[in-house]
Amino acid sequence: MTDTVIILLEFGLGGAVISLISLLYVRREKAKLRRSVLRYEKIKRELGE
Amino acid sequence: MVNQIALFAAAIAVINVAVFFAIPGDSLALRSVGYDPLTLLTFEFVHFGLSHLLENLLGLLFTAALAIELDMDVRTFILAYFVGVFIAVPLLISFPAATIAGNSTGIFGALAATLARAKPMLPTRITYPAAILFIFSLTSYGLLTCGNCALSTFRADLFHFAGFVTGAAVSFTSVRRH
Repeated sequence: MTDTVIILLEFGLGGAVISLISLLYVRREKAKLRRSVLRYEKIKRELGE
Repeated sequence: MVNQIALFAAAIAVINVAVFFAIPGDSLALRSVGYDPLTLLTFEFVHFGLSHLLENLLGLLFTAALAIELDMDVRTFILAYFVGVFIAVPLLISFPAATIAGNSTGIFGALAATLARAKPMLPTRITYPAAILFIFSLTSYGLLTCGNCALSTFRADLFHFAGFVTGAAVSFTSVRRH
């Protein structure tokens, strides 16, 4: 009988870590961007008044 | 309206869980010797053990969430996933008497395409080497701790690397097309 090698295609903790870190980083950058836009609009309104 | 990437990821997750509980064992896994053509379509849904299933579900969830956050094109995401899944088939030929199961090559493909989309915020010159380092981290750990047993993880890492590279290639051609 031939020995069969089972290759588990498993995403692993490494993959989970890199995708989670990227997700958190992108969310943080988007939040920063949103705050900047709000600040810009507030200043624009104040200057307009 | 429900996001299409979320729908796709949920559908894959539901099929994985259903196959895991309804058809236990390796009957649907892909073998390089004496294979059943049907298993070309089913091997991605087969998981050996709960940790195998949970890690792939978690990876798919995080990658899909990242793609949704980046407002990624659903066709590129799905294409990168399936090209990543099926790159495992030609690779299997080089491993005599081997059996493969799981969809992590597809998740790595989708992750590579998603990280390419995140380029303005997260440069690929940082994320791609980091991802490749993580892919081979298990082998490196195995080399340090048990020598020869690292060979088995190295085989899986090669498949993951191939999935990641094909996903990056899909995103590159997709960017050029648009």
